Amino acid sequence: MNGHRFEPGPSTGHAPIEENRTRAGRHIGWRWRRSRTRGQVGLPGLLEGYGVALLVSLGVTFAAMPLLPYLDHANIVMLFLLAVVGVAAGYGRGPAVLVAVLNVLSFNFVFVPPRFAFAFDTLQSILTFVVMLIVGLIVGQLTARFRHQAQVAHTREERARFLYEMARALSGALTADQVVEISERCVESSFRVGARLLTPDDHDRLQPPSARPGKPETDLGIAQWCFDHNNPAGFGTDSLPDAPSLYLPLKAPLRTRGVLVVAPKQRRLPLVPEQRRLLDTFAVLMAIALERVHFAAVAHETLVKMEAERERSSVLAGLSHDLRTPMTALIGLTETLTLKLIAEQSPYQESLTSIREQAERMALLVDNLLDMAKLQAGRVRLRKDWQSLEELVGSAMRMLEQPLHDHPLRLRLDPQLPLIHCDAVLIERVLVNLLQNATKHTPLGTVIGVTASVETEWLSVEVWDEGPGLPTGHEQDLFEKFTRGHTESAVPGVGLGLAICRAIVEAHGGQIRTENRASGGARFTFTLPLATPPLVETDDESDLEPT
Amino acid sequence: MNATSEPSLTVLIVEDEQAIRRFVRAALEGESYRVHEADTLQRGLLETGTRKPDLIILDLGLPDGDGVDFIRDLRAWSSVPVLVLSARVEEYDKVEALDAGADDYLIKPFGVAELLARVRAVSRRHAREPDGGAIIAFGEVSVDLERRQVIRDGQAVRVTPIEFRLLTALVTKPGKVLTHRQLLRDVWGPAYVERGHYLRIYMGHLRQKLESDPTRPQYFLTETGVGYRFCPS
Repeated sequence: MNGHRFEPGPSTGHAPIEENRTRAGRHIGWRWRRSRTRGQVGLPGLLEGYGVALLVSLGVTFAAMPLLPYLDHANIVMLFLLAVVGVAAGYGRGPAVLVAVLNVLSFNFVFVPPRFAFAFDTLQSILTFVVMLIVGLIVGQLTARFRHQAQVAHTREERARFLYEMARALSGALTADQVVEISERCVESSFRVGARLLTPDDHDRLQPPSARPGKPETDLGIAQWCFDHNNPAGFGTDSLPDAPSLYLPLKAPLRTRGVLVVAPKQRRLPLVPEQRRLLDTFAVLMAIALERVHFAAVAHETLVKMEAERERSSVLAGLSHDLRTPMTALIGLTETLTLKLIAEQSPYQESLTSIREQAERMALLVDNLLDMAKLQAGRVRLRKDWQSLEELVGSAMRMLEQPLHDHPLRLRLDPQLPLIHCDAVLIERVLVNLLQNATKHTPLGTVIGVTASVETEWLSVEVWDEGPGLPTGHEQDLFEKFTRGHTESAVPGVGLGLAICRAIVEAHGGQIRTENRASGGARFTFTLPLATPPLVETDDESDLEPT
Repeated sequence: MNATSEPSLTVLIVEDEQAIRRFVRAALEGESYRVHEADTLQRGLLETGTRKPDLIILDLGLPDGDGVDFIRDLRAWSSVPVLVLSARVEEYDKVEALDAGADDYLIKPFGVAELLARVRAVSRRHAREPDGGAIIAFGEVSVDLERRQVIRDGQAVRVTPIEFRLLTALVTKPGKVLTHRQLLRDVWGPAYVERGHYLRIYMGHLRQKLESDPTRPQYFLTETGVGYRFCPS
């Protein structure tokens, strides 16, 4: 198959397609009528009819010879006529004509004087011939029509049966593979063709079929075109009629579910329109079966996912509770003890304070690990609402009041910033982690800043400092889990903070990156998509007048 | 604060972890509160009935049931203040607990100082309520609830009716965290509880008018994911 020559596209105008289609239809119709008259009995049957006609003619002649002395010529003609009727009823018009001609000849030759010689000069013999021919033709014609009707009824019944069998088989299919297998089998047995059903993967690319004997060779290029354009292609259609197979899209109510490839066993024998219609009906059945199976699978998958999610969050909640309880007790008890030791002015209070600090760090670590686990576990459920960035920055700074105390802050938040649709707790966490990072990795007194601006459809937030900057070359690696700028650093942490930031920002559909500023220091920038906040419709009046 | 000058208050701790109960008890008894303990929600309800505590400290992660249901149950027949202890994972349980009628929350792990501060604030607030009709002053701002007047630095501040309603809702409950739903319901009405953006916008207006640095508010604090808190000091 010359796939590269296949260039369906917008160049094919609408009108020429229509024209092509009617022409193709006429073409198929012509072939159909021809194959119909020939095909109703088949070639061997046809020969058999003519053979029988010859034998019957000879038989009647020989059977009538001994009767000549006892019967009138007119009655012998009756026998010959009977033979014509018989052959016409049994074998149709052609053999009937043959037997009529043969009978006239043999009757004339054997019985009409001069015997054993042809004599067509008498009116009588001409009449005999004409009557016999007309009877033969009429009866033959009637038989042919009757047979044709029987044939049509049979075909209709068969079609209904095929459809019924296929529908029944498909209704029991549980997986897409079963649908494919059943469909191929049904098409092959119903149409006596080679059939192949191609289904797409998750990215709408048809999957290449495995080579199996007895299956039609398929051109994936044509199949994909047929799938993408939702149009039949290949043999017997307007698009690439030179292809050896016919490609039919499987149109389901919601979308195209696959492509059926049909290759006639005998080349160059197109499907008759009735078969095409039947095949189209088959295609619809298959498409619906595929769609049903697809949604059953989706429903099942969702169920499994929900179950897994429930499991996961209950494990996380349990773990969190179990880890936090001893931390709470540890911190609380240490603090109680500290208060007591301070009152007693004990020399051990410093150690105790240190224990408490360590316990608090551990608690933070546990928090980070659990958050990371939660974010990694798959889809975080974002509790989105319309938030003001100014408010989130403010509360992040309040949470870091202590560490930020020794750093001059530069806030440049555009007062006209729109509300952003985000999970407040998570975005606050991003800000806290970035600010905390800045305080941890810069010397005391270093300026730290937050700048926010709108860039077309994005809100861009920068957290920057005037510190020593990042080690160059591996900036973006910092967002990987357990990665730290300086591995042998005295700064506490395990490198989860930025990984959490990235997970959160990406869950919101934004991006986070970092670089060194030209004027020195590091800059972390994250973006969040902007949307139009809902209107505020409230009957708030102008300013309140004091009463 | 000198605890001996006040009548000693009874506190009930509903918490399944003995270690936490122990240090909370130690901390509270150090401030001469009377402390009772319960390790399940069932016992907690029972103890509330018999001991008539002045404050309940409730852990949300109890094995025998949902702390939020406990609060709803309790609120049917008692208005005793409830301080909720929650872990970070139970972030949204905490909001639900506050919506159901809890008064405040503490996130585990918490320190003794923090605990005592919250306990004092909650019990003080309850002893003083209701508090309408007065002039409430904080920093250089004073709000006259009766005359519906706001003055800052001696100058009248112009506020809209809705801003004033929001301001009233906040300043009449000093120190108490008010959830988004509670504020939306009280200021705009029950149909508006899902419209968080109203709150964001009007809170911004209030801060612009009453805070010296609206980005780093001193009085109208954000409790991210939960609501707002008015801190007069």
